[in-house]
Amino acid sequence: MAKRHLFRKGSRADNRLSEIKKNGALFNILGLIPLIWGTLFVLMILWGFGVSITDEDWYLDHPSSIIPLKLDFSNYQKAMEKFVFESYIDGELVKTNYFTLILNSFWFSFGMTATKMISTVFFAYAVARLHFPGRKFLYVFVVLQMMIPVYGQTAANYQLLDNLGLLDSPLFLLGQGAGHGMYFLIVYAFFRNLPTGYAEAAQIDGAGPFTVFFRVMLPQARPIIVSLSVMQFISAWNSYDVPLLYLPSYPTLSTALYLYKDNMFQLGLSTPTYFAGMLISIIPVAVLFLVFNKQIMNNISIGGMKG
Amino acid sequence: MKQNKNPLKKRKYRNGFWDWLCIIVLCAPAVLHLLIFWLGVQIETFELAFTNQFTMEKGWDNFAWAWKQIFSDVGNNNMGLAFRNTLTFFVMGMTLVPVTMFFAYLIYRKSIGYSFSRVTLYLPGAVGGIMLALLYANLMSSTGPVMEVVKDVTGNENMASLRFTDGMLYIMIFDIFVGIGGNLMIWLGSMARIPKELIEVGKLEGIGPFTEFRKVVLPLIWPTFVTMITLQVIGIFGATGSVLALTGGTNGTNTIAFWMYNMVLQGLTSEYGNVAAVGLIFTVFTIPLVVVGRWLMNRFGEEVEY
Repeated sequence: MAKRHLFRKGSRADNRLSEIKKNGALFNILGLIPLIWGTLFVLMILWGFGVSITDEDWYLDHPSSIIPLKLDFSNYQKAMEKFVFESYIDGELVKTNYFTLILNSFWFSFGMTATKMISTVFFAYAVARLHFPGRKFLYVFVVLQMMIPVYGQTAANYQLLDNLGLLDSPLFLLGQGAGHGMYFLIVYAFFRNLPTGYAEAAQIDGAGPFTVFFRVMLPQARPIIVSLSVMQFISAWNSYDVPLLYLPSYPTLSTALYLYKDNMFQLGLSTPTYFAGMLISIIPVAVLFLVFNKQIMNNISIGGMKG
Repeated sequence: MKQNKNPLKKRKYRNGFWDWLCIIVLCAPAVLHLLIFWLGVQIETFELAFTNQFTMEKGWDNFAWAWKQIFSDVGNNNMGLAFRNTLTFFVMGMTLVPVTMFFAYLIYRKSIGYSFSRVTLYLPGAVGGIMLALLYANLMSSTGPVMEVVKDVTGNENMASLRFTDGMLYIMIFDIFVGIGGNLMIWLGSMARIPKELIEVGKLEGIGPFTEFRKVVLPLIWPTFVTMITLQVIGIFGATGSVLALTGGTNGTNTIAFWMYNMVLQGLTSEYGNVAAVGLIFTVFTIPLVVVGRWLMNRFGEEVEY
């Protein structure tokens, strides 16, 4: 008897269905776990969104309600007005409004990304492709340095930044251009595996080393650079511990959210207003993630670390 | 004879002026950073560790204090507790490595709803741990929806939030929940590099997804597995979970890394020497692990050619 098909034979849906059937029952059941797990994340964020549009008084009476029955979209406006970060710098009260918090988040994240990526890409290319004494040593050193985590450096780092005048200043970013670490290994592996054909053709045409790097090699590395930059930007945007410790006069949105989590009521913020402020803060990174998620997922991989 | 300026050819450093300039310009930012902010910090760490912050005399005072503290069980938030908590978070991190790898395989093998899972499991990486931590804290608060359900089920109306009754469990539930997606991209990236032909051959031979994982995928992503495990092992004393975001070290959740961070955050300059000494003691503890880790990487972490 001919096999019955739920969808048109040979169609995408039909192929997908037969693929699922071939995987077997156990695989399909286990495969539901990531799906459920991911759904829980989405539900959690939807719940947060629900709270952010709930009427403040109604929320006070129903704090455990999952579905908001009385809505108030003005919480978002209130969040931007009321979300004022107060801190004492050298004994003086300093107030930072919501827009300055956003501005701080932007320059901090852009600065962290730019310094880190420039340093990493330059260094990884030089070690991977250029010939000079000590390049093997530099590679082994970077791997070893990753493998020997020297603990207790927070105090020393703080003291050093203070001595150099980089503490609590945008100049702090100058010290964040570490060209080593995991990103180095990813970019290094990329340049090592990149075919030399285009670079050699450019050299035959008389291109110098800078032209080869900036006009031939760098454009080929664009997908991986974009992926890592987006990841670094997102990580810097969400970082609250670094600005909290090293940039107390320049609080970012993440720092403010962290510090307000336990004393929002003292500052006259209700939970819905607080949640509204929190959700606005994720818009830039959510947009970046949605735009670049495929690119990030297709370009990031690490292998072994011999050294 | 005219010199060949091709830096890509394997020769013994017959670089011209522009080649050397290029090398210097490209290496300068990273090397300067290494010298100032890596070497400088190491020197500063040793300087602090060997200086008594009250008398400013050089000696082993801080190490003597640190050694006593590490094994101390005195006080609510003592170092002995921080040490045990650190090991708990380390075990959790190690367990998450193979679990995340298997989650990634399920998605790679196109399990039901794989596109949705791929994007949503990375959500913690995108929206940030702090935001999810805040949502989690509110969900789990004594008036939050989760506790309401627990209160209904147990019939105990006065039940306190897990944060206060078992701080470590409170953090671990959250860390396992968000940690699954942590390295998902690295696993998916490694799996994406596996040549399709190898997978196709397996399928033609009629092997199922589990055999494919064991016999084809795992051997090919083995270097990534070894790297991830080794990084966990050598970072053992830095394991701290979401302590800062969720409890701030209260309710018995202190860890070594959090203790060090908190000392500096509180501006306790008199403790800087102790922080550095505690750190250096744990660094010494790590050295045998580093030796084993390097051996593991060199023995098993070699790239598989495909």
